[in-house]
Amino acid sequence: MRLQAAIAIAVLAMCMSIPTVAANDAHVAATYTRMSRIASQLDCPVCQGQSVKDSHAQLAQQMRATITEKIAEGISDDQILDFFTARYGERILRDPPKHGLALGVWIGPVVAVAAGLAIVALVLLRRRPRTAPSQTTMVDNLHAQIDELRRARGDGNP
Amino acid sequence: MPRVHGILIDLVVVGRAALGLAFGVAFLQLGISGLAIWQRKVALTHAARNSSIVLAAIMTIAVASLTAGFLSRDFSIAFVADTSSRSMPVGLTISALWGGQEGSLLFWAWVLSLFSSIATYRMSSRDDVLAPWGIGTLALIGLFFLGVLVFVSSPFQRLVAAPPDGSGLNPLLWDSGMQVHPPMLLTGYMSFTIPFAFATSILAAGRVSQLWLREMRNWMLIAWAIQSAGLLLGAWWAYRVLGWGGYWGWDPVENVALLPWLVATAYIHSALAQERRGQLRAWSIGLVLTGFALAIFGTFVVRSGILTSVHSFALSNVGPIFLIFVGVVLVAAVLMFIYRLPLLRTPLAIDSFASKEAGFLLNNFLLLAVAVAVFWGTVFPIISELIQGSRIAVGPPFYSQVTVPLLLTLLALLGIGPLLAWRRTTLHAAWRSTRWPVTLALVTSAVLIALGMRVGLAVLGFSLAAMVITGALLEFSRSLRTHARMANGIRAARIGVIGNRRRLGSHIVHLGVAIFAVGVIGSSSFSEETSVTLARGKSAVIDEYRVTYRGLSTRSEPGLTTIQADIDVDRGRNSSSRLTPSRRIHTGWENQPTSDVAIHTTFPALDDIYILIDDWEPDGSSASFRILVNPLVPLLWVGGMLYFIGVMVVAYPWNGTRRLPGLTLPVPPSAIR
Repeated sequence: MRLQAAIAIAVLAMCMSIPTVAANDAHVAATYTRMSRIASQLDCPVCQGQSVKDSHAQLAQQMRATITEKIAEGISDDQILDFFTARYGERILRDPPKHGLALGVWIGPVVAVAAGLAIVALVLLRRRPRTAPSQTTMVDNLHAQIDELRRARGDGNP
Repeated sequence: MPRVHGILIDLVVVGRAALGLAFGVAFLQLGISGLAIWQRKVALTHAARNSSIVLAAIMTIAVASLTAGFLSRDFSIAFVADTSSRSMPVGLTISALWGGQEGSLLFWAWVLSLFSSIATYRMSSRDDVLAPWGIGTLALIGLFFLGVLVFVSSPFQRLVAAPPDGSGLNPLLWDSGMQVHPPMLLTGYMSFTIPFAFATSILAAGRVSQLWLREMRNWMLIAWAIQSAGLLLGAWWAYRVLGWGGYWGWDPVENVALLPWLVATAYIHSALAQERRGQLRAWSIGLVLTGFALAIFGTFVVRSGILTSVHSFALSNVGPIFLIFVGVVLVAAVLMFIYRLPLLRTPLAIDSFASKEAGFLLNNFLLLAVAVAVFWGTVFPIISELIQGSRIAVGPPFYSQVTVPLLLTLLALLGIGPLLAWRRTTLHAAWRSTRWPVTLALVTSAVLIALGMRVGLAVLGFSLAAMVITGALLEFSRSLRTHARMANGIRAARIGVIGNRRRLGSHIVHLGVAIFAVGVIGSSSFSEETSVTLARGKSAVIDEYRVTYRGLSTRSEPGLTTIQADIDVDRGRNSSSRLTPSRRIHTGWENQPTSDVAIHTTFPALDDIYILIDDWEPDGSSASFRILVNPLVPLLWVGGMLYFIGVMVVAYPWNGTRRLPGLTLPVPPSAIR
């Protein structure tokens, strides 16, 4: 989609008259990208269901500023996340941690998918009809034959 | 208080009387239904049926009195004072009806009464044994809602001293979307009640009829269509109004609305196998029960506050009562379901992996797996709070990691499943019908990679979507060719169109889903975002677009101040487009200014340039903006429209489908039991 994106940005960067300004801009843009990546992993403590990145709340704005400051101080992403976790507890992380009780949220879907797959496999593998060949199966066979005839006529799936 | 012909009408009295009367009628209806079951008299069933119409009329009066209260600015009614104010325009004032818990419940019960009066009529003309059970179930659910409205959470609470002005709706809701999205979603939740009544009557009476199952399918189709519309309108509203740049945030309130939709979609497919081959009957009925449970869960979860905290749930006045009622109804339904399982169970013998049945089985598995994951993620914070006392947040990263693999598999299945035949397809025939879509998917991957796309999931997703689109178009042309081959012109075309209408509709729906998927994949993989502060006349560049800030203007009206920025967007040589994002500051809500997004869609690139004001200097010399470039989002709305055209085509012929002459077959005996 954004196939030309890289080229376009490169060309536009060259167009910028003063190289130092461009370098500075690139630095600011990189910081912003890092900031928004970290902010999107944090749950805004005072809003419902919005991340720190998306929220318009005052606190979220302050938190974004804090993240930007910490990036400027040269602190790593993980350390910044740890800083907020220490301050607000694990509930601030949007991505639930993969240990302790929170592991449960990850296990649930895995168990469900495994159980569902087992059932589907069981049904598919038990392909023999349980009833002995009867009138029912004969009519069903007739249906299948007619379906095939229709298909041969180019009528698609009945 | 409004005055009609010089007579003062007390709306509180009228409204309360109507609700009280409605409660009485519902009670009576329940009694008559019971009597009809007991005495097996058709006349009694008809009486119970007719009570639905009376109930609907009385409920309409109740809704009309509350609406009149809004229009006459009667702030002596607590609900009117809470959710509307004089500065709100008329259209918005009417939609304040669903702006709070009491009004939403009233609306829910009203729409239920309207739907019931049609459903009970159709029940009584379909089956004499099942009808009283179905009518009784609807009466019971109506009675519960009316009980809540009369005794617990009345929309007609009178304030001792009427305030001069109401507090009004939250400014975020001051939007035309408010007039369509909430009522659509409430109606969607409500409409799952009707198929539920059909299902419980089968369980209670221990009797199955093809006509009854087909009618249940039709109502489920309606519920599914309305819920789809509600979800889509919600996404559109969030994108345009909430101003965070996206259309879906895996917010708990969104999740609970998605759950019944997933289950209904699974049902629509399994019902085909049940109708056509007499399979999956018990399973389909189980899905109807689950859909209802989730719809009710959705209605009340949104209102009860349980999602914010378990403690606020205990404070809510309807939550606990409601939980008890739903618990009792569902436990009863599940017990009946288990008891009747021998009657409902149909032999499920799948002959081949390459068959439509196997496809439906996988489809149901995938949809339900998504539903389980979403449900689990939504309720987990509540569970964690109960266990350890603090909540564990479950955010979008969890949902995308868990659901994306399942949804992509579903997309792949969507490309292949509809092309397979019933019962069994030889591998050769299966290859013959799927070779073009599969080839096109491979070509798409190759081209995208060659063009430099390096996001693996996006390449896969786009290729699968290409496969679905090719498959649907091929099926389309195949049925058109069949029409052309039939000799006598108009008649043949008409029969063909009617006979194949449902199949044709399903291809249109699938096409819409694939286009929608392209929009989702594009916007979630390639969205770009930046935040800039610009002095007047200066520009910034994002992606390939140049954004220039031209200045700020402030407009003041009573109760509202609007700050609007003028921005020009261009791609270098092309002429520029003017965008005007703004901020609204409502009197009384000063600490919550709402943002009006400006969106510009480019053609043919289909990028949405999405601009929000973050901050500004009072003199307009500079301002800060959040700018997003969201590729392919317009495809969501295109796909959505196509989806609805397909739904209309599928749902149109209500009384069954006509098949091609000469190919009409008796229903296989396995389907009737």
